Amino acid sequence: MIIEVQRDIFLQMLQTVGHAIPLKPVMVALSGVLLQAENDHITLTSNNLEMSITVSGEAVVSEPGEAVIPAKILTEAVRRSPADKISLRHNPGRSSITFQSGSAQMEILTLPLEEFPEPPVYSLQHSYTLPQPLAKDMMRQVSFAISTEELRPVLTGAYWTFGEEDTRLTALDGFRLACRWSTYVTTDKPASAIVPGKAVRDLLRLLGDDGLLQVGIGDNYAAFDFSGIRLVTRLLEGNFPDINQFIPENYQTRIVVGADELWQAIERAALVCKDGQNGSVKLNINDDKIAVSAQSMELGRHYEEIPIQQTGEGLEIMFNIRSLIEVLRSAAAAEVTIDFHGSYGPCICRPVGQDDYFSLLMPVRLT
Amino acid sequence: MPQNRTILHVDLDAFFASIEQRDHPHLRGLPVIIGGKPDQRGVVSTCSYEARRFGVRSAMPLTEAYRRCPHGVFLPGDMAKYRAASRQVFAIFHRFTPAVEPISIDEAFLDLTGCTGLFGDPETIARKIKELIVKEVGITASAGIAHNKFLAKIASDLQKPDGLVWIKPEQVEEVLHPLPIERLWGVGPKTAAKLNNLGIRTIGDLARFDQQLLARALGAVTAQQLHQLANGIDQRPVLTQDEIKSMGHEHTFAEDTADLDQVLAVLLRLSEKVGRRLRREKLQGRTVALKLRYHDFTTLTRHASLREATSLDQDIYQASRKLLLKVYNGQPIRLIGVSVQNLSRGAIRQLSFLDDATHAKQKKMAQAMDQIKNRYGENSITYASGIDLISNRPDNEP
Repeated sequence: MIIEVQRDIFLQMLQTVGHAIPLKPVMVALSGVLLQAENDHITLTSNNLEMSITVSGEAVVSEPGEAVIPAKILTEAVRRSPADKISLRHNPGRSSITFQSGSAQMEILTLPLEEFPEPPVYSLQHSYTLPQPLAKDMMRQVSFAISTEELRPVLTGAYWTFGEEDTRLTALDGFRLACRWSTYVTTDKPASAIVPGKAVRDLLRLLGDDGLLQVGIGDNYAAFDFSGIRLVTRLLEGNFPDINQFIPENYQTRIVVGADELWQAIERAALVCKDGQNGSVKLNINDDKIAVSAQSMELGRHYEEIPIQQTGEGLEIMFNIRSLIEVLRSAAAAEVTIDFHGSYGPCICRPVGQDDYFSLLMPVRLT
Repeated sequence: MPQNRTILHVDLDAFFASIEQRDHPHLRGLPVIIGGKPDQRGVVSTCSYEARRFGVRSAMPLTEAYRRCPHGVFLPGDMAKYRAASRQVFAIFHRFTPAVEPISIDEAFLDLTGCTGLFGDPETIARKIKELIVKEVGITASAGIAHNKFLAKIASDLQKPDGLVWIKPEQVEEVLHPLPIERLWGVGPKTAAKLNNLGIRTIGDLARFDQQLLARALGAVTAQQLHQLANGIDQRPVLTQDEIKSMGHEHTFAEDTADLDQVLAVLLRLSEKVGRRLRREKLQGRTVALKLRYHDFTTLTRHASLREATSLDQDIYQASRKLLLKVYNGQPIRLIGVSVQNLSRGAIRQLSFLDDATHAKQKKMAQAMDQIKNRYGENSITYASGIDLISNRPDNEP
């Protein structure tokens, strides 16, 4: 294999596949990236057994071939290469590639090709297409509620459904729940998948601001095709809980409040909490205003009032600061409606003027 | 911190044995050894002064104690009774000052700075406390007075039992310097050997030793600490219950072990004890720390932060178990300890909309176990894997 490739293109490709290179590989082969060259392009593949990423790009291919190269060294070598062009030559006899950029030359030992994991075998029964920015928004608005606790594995992923009325992305971890939907995609062939949180977070970084995303769903795998990238992830097995059971019907208190205004007040309150954003803030809702307060023995106290529109009873309730900020930020709206169900019940936050999102947050209580 | 502090250290004399002699007059004057039956695997937790005359010591294997003192009275001990007596003693301390730092069930520091106007000079206060313990609890205590914790503890040890010693600033050299270096806080067999190699045998030798040379042998931090202690300097404040920063238990294995099951069983037992103490003090902690000492004395500590503060045995155990499995290198373990830090009262609990049955059950179980222990003693109930570990010897509290 002999190729010549632009540094910037190559670096971006390497960073893309880097998302599926494990930090602590269980076997050496997983720390490598598979480079394949044919015709006038090259393909890079990484595979951590849960997820694989493939990306193609233009290159001058003088001699086709393939090799597995340690990803970290190759990425750093490309990042630091002195010239815009990089040429690679595979030396199968010496199990190495020769890396040349300007006058810099490196010989990098390759990894055994036969030890690189086989690509996952899957068949995709369903395929849907939606704009990348929409998919990105959906993921951004729910990813914070994906659980990190292994206790209930299905909750460590986001539940994506494609139905007759809309497509929906849902995540919940027991004290938060977020759901975003869009009528952009409707189908008479419904399907659903629980996408692992890691894949969601990687997609969030990889998806662009234009172009389309094609989502393919099979029994155990889902494939995401966009911008010349294919990300294939194993799906989480099990039943995702029906979220309707967690959402109470009638609110006791409803407020409409400026999201930024409330968010900033909470940020200020966090300043006097010993644990900062891990601390808790008290909201006191009464007479069309919300009083935000926090205190700690070590740092002092905070109090401020914000005007709101209120319907229903007055209420005192406490929240974890970080979670409340995430809920307000994820609504992605100037104003939000928040429905409360008592001091120890869930609150549900919806953007004003957009019927495509809500999040639920449970309060904290003193024990 | 005031420059001229007055610290009192009170140590109950042969505490467990004294309580037994108090309650069973026929045992008075006899060698009483608490810890278990002589044929049991286990160690002496306390022995009466009569037994000490035969060479019996705390932490000595029971079989050895039996060899030295076959006519001794061996008793399993009754922790519930000792704890009740201990509470009485601490209540007496609190009549004189709120600044009481418990070190263990039978030992405490009292900061008397500022109390002397109220109750008389330190010696009068110490005498009163000793009298009250005899009168109300029926046992004797040894007391030490000095201007810091280290010296107060040295002082209480000088005239045991029923002693009262005041080390005044001008007497520090005279009292402290002839003592062997092992009496310094933080000098174990390993450091002692290093110091002996430098020709240092007494605290006086150390006080006079060049600090830079010392730093080369022990490291700068340890060297400075020991040098200060050797010169009778100790700035540590008396920490009352409210200021307790962490709560932990350690266990030294009778024989170093690489049997992970055994280590985990001990870890669960320690977690249970820590959880019990946290709940008793109505404290919860957000950080769990694991301490691991290998056979070669390599010691490491690892911390894990929990999402929420806890006082539940299972939370503490799971977190410390995770830490252990992450760091354990397969070498024989000499000591294992677990502690909970970042303590607070009235913790905040994140509510959940998912079925939180596991947590609710664990909480109920902890309450039930606590009630049983309150009524029938600490060893009346434990987890199945810890059943072989039940002993009356309290694990050392660091």
